[in-house]
Amino acid sequence: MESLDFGIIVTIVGMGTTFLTLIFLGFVIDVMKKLFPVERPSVEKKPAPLKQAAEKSS
Amino acid sequence: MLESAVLSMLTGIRNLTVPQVIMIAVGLVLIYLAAGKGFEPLLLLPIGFGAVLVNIPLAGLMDEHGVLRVFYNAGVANEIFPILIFIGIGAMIDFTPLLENPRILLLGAAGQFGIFLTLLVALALGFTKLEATTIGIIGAADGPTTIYFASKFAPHMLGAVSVAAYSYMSLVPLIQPPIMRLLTTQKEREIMMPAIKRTTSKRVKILFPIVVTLITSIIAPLGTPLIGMLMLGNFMRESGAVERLSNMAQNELCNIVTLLLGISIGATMQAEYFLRPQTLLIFALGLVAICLDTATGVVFGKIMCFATRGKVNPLIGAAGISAFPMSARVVQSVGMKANPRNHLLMHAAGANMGGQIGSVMAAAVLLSIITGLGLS
Repeated sequence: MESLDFGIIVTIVGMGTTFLTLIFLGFVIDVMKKLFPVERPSVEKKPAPLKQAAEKSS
Repeated sequence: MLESAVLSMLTGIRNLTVPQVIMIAVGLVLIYLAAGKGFEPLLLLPIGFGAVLVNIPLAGLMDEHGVLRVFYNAGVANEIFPILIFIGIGAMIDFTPLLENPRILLLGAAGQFGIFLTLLVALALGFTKLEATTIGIIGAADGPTTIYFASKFAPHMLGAVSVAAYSYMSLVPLIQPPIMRLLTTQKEREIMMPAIKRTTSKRVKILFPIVVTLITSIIAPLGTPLIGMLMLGNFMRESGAVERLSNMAQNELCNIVTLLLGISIGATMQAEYFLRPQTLLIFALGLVAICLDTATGVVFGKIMCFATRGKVNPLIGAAGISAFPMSARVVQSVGMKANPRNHLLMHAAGANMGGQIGSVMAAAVLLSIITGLGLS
């Protein structure tokens, strides 16, 4: 009976802690993703059209 | 003179016992499964060879200064080998699929129910508390964790528990599909999940191992050797600062330690310790543990399916165990049989990584509880 009590306590505490820790970890990952979003490649300035550039040079 | 010389040459045969012959046969079967059938060959082959060697009479490999005893004392008795393997595993894993969908971590937690339910069954069958905990940990489907636990709490069961763990991990493609089909409907198995979007930055990937180490170690400090080494390996991989170390951990370190670990475990399979009714019970309970893990994972997947109004395919719950990446491949295969356009691999891989972290976390919590109760 004592062994079974031990088993039940270990199961409740063990699974409870595992679930809560992983839920918290998931929350922390979400926060990190908001704090450090994916770096988008910077948009480069389009080169001036060839015609305009030619006009300017003339 | 001649007679005594011949007799001395036959000493080995004269000392060979029936239990030793049986164990040599068991070792040869393991070697066949590894080399002939490809079942977890990296570990089952050295384990099988170790089992053959240690049962040869008068060879003295496990005597005080025997070569296998030296290996055993150097890395298994002090739990160093499984911990070193964790560095290699961490360096091999790319946690991106998990980071893309962190909610999937819950499946990694649900997949650990088998550990605790098997522990209860083992206690009911009369195993001591430490033995029952060691048997339950087979349900983690995580070889190094199982070996770490067995060498710490029940060294006399190390051979049986390790062989059971690695055997069932290699049999995941046979064990899981019937349970998955039994617990899900055709309609559920057909659910398609959208492709994973790239939403995780490099910074998050680098910070992840540090954050996991801090959170889990503070909650269950005694699990720090396990989770700490796993995450050290992953940090080396993701930081990119120590590419040489990362490559070494994935290859040379993992290979050398795997060989020494396998042969040392095989060395614990001496006939007088292994051939007991208890060993058969351990194998049976190990199977129960893996089946329960799969069942609870799928049931939790069904709960997530219901909660998300059918956006989660319950099959991915079966991957919430630590058998990486085999379990994810099994989910992909069963999913594609139900719907050939269904690609669940990346989602299942995320659950599988959750299972890796979940199993180490569950083991860490068990370690803390056992030590806290003064049982070790």
